[in-house]
Amino acid sequence: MKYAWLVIGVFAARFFTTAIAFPPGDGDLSWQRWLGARILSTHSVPRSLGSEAFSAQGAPWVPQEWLFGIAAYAGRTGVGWELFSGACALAALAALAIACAHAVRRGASARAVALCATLSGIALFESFGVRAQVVVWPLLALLMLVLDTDGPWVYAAIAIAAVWSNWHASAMLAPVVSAIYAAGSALDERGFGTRTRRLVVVAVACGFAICCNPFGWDLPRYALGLFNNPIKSYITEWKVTDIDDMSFAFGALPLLLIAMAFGTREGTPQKPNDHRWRDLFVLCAFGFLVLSAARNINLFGIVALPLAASALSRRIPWFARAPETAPTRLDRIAVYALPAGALCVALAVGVKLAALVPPPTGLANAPLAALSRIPGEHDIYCADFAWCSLALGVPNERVFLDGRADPYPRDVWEDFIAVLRVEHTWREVLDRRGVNAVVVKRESPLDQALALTRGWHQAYVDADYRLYLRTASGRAQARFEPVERHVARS
Amino acid sequence: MVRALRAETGEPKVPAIAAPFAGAAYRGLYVVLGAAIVAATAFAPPDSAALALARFTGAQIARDHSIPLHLGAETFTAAGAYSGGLGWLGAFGTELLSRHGLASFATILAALVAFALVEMRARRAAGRIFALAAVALAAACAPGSLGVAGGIVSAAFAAAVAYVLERPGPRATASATALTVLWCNVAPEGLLAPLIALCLAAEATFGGRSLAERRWARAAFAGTALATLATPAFLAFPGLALEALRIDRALDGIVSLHPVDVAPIAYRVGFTLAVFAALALGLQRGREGSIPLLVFAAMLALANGAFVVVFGVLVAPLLAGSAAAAFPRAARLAGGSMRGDLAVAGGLILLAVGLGAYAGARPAPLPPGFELAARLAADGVPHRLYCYNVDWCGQALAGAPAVRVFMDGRIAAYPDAVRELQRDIVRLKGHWRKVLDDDRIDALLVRRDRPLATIVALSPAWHVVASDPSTVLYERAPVAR
Repeated sequence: MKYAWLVIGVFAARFFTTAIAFPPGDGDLSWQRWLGARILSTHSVPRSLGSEAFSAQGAPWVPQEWLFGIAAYAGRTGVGWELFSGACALAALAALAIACAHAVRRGASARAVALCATLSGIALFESFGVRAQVVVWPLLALLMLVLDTDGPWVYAAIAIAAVWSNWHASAMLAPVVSAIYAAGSALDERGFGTRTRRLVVVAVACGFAICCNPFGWDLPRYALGLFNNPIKSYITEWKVTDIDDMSFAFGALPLLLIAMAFGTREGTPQKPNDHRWRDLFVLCAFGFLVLSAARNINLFGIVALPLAASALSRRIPWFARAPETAPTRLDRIAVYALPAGALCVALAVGVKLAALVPPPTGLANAPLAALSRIPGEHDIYCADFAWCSLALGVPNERVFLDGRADPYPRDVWEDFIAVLRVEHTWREVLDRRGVNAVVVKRESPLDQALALTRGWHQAYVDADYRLYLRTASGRAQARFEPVERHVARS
Repeated sequence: MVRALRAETGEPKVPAIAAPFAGAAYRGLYVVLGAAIVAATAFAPPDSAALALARFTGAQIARDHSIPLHLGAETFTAAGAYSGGLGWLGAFGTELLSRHGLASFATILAALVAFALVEMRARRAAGRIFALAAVALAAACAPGSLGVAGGIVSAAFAAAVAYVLERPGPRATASATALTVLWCNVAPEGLLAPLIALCLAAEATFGGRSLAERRWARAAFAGTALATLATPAFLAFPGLALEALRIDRALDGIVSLHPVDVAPIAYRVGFTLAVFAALALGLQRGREGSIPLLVFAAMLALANGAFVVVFGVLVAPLLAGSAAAAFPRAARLAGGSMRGDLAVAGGLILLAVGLGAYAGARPAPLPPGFELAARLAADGVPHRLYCYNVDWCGQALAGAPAVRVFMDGRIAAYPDAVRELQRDIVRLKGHWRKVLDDDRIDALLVRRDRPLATIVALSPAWHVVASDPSTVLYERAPVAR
């Protein structure tokens, strides 16, 4: 673990600086704060979309991140923000530290742990931010650790699952991973031994534990529904993992290749690995997930760290663990010096990063602020649905689709995409849905199309965005213009 | 029934374990797998884009009796740009074989060679049963590459280079060098040969091989590297070929690169199976030197889905070796004989002849965009054409000498500025309208569900002349023209 502290120190600098000094650009925090405020004011968790969403009012909603929403609202300004965002960075670091401790417990050497921690940290990079997903990373790392203990500590997984389900719907992983462990354990034990029986109980109990939240059975049902949900194809995070993803190419992929090269077999029949099937099932499951969607890169990074580090230590002599000896004076100093060194590195890098000018958030604050000053009722379409999260809670403004994304029905998504891609039905959709304000990026295809279309006029423009409003008689004019003019060829 | 396996096949000289019916079962599986490969190759749709361009270039060579080293007047944006005659031999061969209806048969033969080499390489370390499994795994990585001009020829070359170089020596070095010369002239993928040789040289160096073997492995790398210069492009070949491999990210937005888009079945089934097998087995103990080859093949497949098949032929034998180490009894099961193998191979070739002839006589339907391009080409008007998908323009070129295109599938030869403009028009960025006007483009072939189609439809300067469910062909209105 000793070298891993230095690695964690470097990542600490990066994570703390990113969380506190660089505002997140995905718009989620806006609606999460709005959700937190609403829960605190009504003392109940909303279960359907309200009038703020004119396209899908009344659609059922499972606000799985309700606890995070309250925390986000509580920590929206000043010291609260620093504590809240710092806690997110701490969660990411805790996940790394727990996974490293897990690797050490599995017999990985300090060198192997340091290398794999670096790769795992890179795998967390792109997903990291002040987000609910990040808060549950240490819970995943902890779950893997306790499931690997083979003792009564394995029951702690049930409590972890219950806590997890109040932060994020990915808690669904808890019973699934426990079941995978149970199946692997049964094969390792060649029967239904003590270890397997315990894991089966844990898997079943985790299934119930993830219902210990305000939504009960609806949470796992919602999580299962996501597998077949077509809206995934419209959300960047759900795209199939690509080698262009930095976190994958330099983090998760090397971990996967290490695991592939050294496998889960010990290779020598004399020294069987008694967790072979368990490790294999876990790696295959998360390997499949990482190749399926970019949002799973971070999960794979956390899960693969201990397995890859122990495989490296087993198979490559340079990474082999040194035999245990009585600690020397140098070792005793290193126990304190390395974390202290990590802290110094973190501070130095953090100070350097904090001096940088934060990039623009990428959110359309200015056009939406301009819209709020224009009198009248506005039904807004945002070319990036996350922008519309900023309009939640603003009087006289309702949104077509916002960053909550999941509860919006499929037909709303299809209409959203039809307009965004300027498909031939785009004007008909805007008319049918009664949209009267559109926020677009300048020079985007939709911007060019609106500029060519009668019935819309520009109400605001800056270097990045343009706001269009419907003219009074625009609906009638726009609807009857032919889309294509076919001319017979001679 | 114990016998020493033949030395000439390279099989380990360990006593085989007698198993009742093992020989018959093995040969039955061999026949079924081989027949499935032959049938899948015969009925696989051709790679229309690669085939059209290969035939266009091949026809040029046949007509002019010279290798075209520059783009011609068929493109109005990069006429005269250096193309180096990449893949001239493959293009000429494709045209020749297609004219005589033999393209399908040649492709089936290439597939059989590729998988036979996988089997032979796997058999060296893993015995017959796991060799067969290696072929199945490699075949699972092949869907999408089995059609005419679909990439199986490159897989066969890769399998051959890996096979000969796995046992370094003077003959292996000479054979690999000769193979590379041929491969580089057949396809730009020939550039992979020195990279494979480098990985195998690393394996020899770190895998405890003898000094002589290590030296020959390095010599093979040097030989294959030099062999890449034996093409009409000479020193320019590596640079041009690297671009043609489409493994850099510079072409993102112009062509599809991700395995899920390029070879979805091969990626989701074959690649995933190989990953699972590797996670289960790892590399055989003592063969950690194969890590560079495993990493190289995986990166190649992830960078461009067209190379999932190459990943399969390179990695499947390694995994077979690991499986044999994990299950030594299964690896030593007796099965088959040389005479039996020859009979099966003969049968498969006969099947290939039959199915190849049938597939060659069957006209292959064109995909939607290609069909409109072919129709545009057939009207004989000298259009200046822009295609949303550059491969459609390749089809238009193959169909009509009169058409001139903005950009076609020979992306490696087009200057960066033209690629940038191609991308800008697709994304409606910058002065895309001005580009259309300045280049006097009078025909646009675009995807119906993309913004370009709608924006062009809003403009009175363009009108629709033909469309299908996914593609629209616009022409400039007479006044605007």
